[in-house]
Amino acid sequence: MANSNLPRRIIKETQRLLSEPAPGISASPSEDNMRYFNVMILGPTQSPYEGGVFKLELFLPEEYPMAAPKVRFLTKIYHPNIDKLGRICLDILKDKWSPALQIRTVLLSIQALLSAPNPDDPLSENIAKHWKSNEAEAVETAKEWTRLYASGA
Amino acid sequence: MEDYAASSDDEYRYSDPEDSVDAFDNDDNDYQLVSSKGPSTQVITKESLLGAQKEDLRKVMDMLSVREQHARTLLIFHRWDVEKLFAVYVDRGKHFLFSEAGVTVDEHRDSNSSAAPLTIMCEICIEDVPSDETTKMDCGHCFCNGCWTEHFIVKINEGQSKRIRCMAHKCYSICDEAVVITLLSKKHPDMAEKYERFLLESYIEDNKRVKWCPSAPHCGNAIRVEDDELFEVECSCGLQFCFSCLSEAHSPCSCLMWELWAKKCRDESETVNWITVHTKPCPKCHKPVEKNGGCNLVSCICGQAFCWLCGGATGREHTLSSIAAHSCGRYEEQEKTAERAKRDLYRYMHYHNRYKAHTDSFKLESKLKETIQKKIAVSEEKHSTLRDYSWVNNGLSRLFRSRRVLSYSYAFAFYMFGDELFKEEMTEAQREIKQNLFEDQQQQLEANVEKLSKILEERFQTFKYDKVMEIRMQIINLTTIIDKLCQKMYECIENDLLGSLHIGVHNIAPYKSKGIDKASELSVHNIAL
Repeated sequence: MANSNLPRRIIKETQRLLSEPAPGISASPSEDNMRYFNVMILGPTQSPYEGGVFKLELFLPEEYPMAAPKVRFLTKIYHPNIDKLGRICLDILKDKWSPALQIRTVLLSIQALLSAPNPDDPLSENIAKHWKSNEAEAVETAKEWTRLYASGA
Repeated sequence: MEDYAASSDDEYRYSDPEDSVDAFDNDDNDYQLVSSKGPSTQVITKESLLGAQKEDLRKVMDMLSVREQHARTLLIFHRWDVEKLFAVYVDRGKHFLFSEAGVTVDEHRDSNSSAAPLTIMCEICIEDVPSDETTKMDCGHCFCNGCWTEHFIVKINEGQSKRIRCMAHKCYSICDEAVVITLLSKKHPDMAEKYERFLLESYIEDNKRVKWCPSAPHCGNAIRVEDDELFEVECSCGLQFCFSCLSEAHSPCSCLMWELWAKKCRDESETVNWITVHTKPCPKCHKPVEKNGGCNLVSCICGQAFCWLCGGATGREHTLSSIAAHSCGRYEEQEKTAERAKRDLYRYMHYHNRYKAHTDSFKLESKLKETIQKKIAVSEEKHSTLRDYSWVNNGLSRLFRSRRVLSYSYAFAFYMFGDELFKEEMTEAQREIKQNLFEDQQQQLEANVEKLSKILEERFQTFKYDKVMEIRMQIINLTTIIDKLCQKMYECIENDLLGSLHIGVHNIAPYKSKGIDKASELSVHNIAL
């Protein structure tokens, strides 16, 4: 495949992701494109996403690791920093990206974002408003969505 | 600055004081001094850009005893505002100043060479690399040269040349530009060049005291000012422009007035207005129809007849006073808006015609420049005693200058006394007083400018000596009077008209008796760095 000249860094990262996966996270490269990863993140305990299994896609661009990986939620999720196309508002995926960060650290950060939504820096204006005006109700909706769309089917 | 004021004075002092107009002469000198105290401006060319930048770098390097690249990083962070940078230094201290801008000075450099291992694992590419192929930045983070280079290229292509951060997570240090250039030069000299150009041009692009000359095609120059005041300037390429809004020099219009006026002149809105006033849409084909005379039964080229008064379709038979099967004449709201549009249009036309008349005269008179030189040559042959013709040239440049002032003064008046900008600012009565005051001055100026224009057209080269001396006197007088009138009009605008506004803030570039300031070529001394 065209993966023959895959940088050693990507190979190393992939190996480590497979051999020592981070708790609650799994990431495996696609068979035909070693830069494309199928990712699953378990909803963190004590969060509205608990019990949910969230699918994501992660792609390493040509410039990786000088440029950040591209990550997107495939599972519908009710979260102020994630829009309806699954795009994620996370600083390390944008201007705070550093080549010293890895796939693993990115996914851990996304998992942490699920535990601590940040409605002050929203991507989804409506959800953020909901979160700020009535957090209890917003959390209920998030739980409801987790049940409906992320029940691990 | 002082030298500059003095020299500009000389230029305007008439050679023979006895002959010049006594009444105005003293005052005039005062004005020269006042108007020359404005901000001094300089042209920065491609060649002098480096020198200009180094002037400021030198100040920071001397003050803080840092290397050039660190001074540059600090200055880019503070947008080349040396005073602000020093203020931060005094208020918050060196450590804050440096860390805020991402400068780390030499804390870890030395520990590099002693007892270094033969190979180092680069944490970016996970390769084992010989230690002499790695680079440690000032912040202490060490990665392989290949990774650094790739990082620089990605950042430069992202347009972030001016602030390339270290690769380590949460390290906000800016990479040392000397290192960036050294590493890039090895395999990517083109990128190194690009990087250096970006750093150089930062002095123009991130600096509120410097702006590119707006000439098109671009002359490659930039203009630097000493204070960030509002003023008009002439680049060494000859383009005159307003430093504040970068459009043509437009005083005594404020930038906003000029923007609105230029847009209005360009726009179709007045054409649309004209159509509203002078035509009515045909009730059948909806084309605008203009009434070319006759009675109120109008017939469109499509064949439809309609009543000009109400716009309704009618039959074709009519008498002088009535149209068959049609009666109208009831007042409708539409009439009102048409009236209003008509009034606005006439008002605009009044000001625009005069604005344009002066602009056109200005263009025609530009040809005078050549013919006058010929006249001077002929006259010099004829009267061997008369050697000094500066009065002609002074008169000519006064004419050009005041034509511009006059034409822009109409655009100014359109907004100053119209509803668009200052409706809430003054009552009708106040407006009338101010308008009269202004128009008196404007008319005086106009009358004198026309006089000067006429006299300059005279064929003085054919005159006898006495007649030439008489003309000379007249031109010198008019030149001085016009200068004074321009000055007075600007003062009236600044103090009595714009100065008394409450809501909007409008400022205009100060009047320059000798014309728009020519920016001087920047000369930089002692820049050996």
